[in-house]
Amino acid sequence: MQLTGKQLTTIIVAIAFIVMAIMTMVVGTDDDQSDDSEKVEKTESTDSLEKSSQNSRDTTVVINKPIEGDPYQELDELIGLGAVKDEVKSLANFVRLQQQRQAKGLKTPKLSYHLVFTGSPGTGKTTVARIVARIYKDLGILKRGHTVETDRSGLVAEYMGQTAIKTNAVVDSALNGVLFIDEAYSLVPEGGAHHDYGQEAISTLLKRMEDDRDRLVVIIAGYPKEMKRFIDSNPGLQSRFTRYIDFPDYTADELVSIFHMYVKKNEYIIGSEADRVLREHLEEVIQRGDRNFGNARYARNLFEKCIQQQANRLSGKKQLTKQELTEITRADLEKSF
Amino acid sequence: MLVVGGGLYLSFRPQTLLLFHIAGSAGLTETIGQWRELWSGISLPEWVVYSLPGALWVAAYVLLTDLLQADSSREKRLLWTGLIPVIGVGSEVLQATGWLPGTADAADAAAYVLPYLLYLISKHQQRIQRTIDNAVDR
Repeated sequence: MQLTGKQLTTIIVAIAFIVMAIMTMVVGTDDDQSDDSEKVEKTESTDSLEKSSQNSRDTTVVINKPIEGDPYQELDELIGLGAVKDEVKSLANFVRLQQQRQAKGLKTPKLSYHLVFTGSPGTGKTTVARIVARIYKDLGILKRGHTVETDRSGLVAEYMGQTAIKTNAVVDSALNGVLFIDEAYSLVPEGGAHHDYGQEAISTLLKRMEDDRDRLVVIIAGYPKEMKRFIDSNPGLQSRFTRYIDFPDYTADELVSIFHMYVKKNEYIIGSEADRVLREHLEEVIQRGDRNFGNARYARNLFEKCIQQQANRLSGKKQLTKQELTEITRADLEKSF
Repeated sequence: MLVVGGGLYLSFRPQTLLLFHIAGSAGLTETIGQWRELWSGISLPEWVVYSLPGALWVAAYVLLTDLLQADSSREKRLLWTGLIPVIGVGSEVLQATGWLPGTADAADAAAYVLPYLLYLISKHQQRIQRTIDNAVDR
């Protein structure tokens, strides 16, 4: 078959248009494979998300699409976090009321939607930030309600002049959604290191928060003491971040509930003897008061180790019953501690 | 159309797109940053930023292909002009099923279909008009 000149041109045009489409594909973003039943485990979890690299091999920026479903219900379903839930609901109520006042032509205070989440790792800060983004969308504050999660490495570059570009790129991806900066205090190293570009990232961020005030909400998170130091270090931060939400550490009972949730979700069972050992262990770990204890993340990791131990215990056995395939025993647990 | 669509991408879309990465490799990051800075104060409706470029892209292709295939049979012309809209909708389906990265969006799919639909309607109207004109001439 011989192609005419016009056919060939049409093919070239079609290819050119396909190339254009490829150029507009998002790179470094993955679909959030969020599961509605997955609530607390989403905390600090990135296993269903892609860590994308932007400008640097060490850069971490996670972009989450807003997921469907009722964010208020999801907030209610989170294990523990009573005070956090009350605080978020109170914020939503306040915003809703101010919107109604505004609609009636009444005076409304200037609202700041930026938040500071303080608490230890694994206490649900990232999960709640994702829910807050969707609540803000529901309230009409944000158009998309997605979250972009990053930390110092996603904002600060290694070379002079690159940090503003890098920060701007991350902010661009967060427009109409929430930019969540974990361990934000690391942008200002303790003691104030010379030649650190963290300050440049903060200046860029503050400028964008002003320029894009209708399209950008920033949530910064980290340990309480460090966050206070960070915010006090810059008047611009002080004036913009006025609303704090504290995330307390989980209690042993709550961690047991989280562990049970993983057990149930993954179709395992845990006997009463193993359950007692689990509770005792978690109480002991909490009592130890290790600052780096991972809270919900610790419960998830423990569960993952347990099912690995179960697999090791059952390896080589043939004709396994359903009970054997599903039960996590005391031995599995103890080997996982 | 392509210039307007490209301009919307360049000025308002997040810089996580492949074209920005390629531009960055070509050392154009700063220039693009300055360009985007010019538009940073403007807030456009979401459909303009996210769906309109797709519609303009399809419209540009359909019109250009229609011109190139002016001498071809009606079937061939429809086949060629429909190629990109089909790829566009297909890409949305693949995004929805997770085979392609990105966010599947019904508005985007509609933006791919709408220009082609308008094109088909206009072609149909032209055909009817031609038939009437021929009948009158006879």
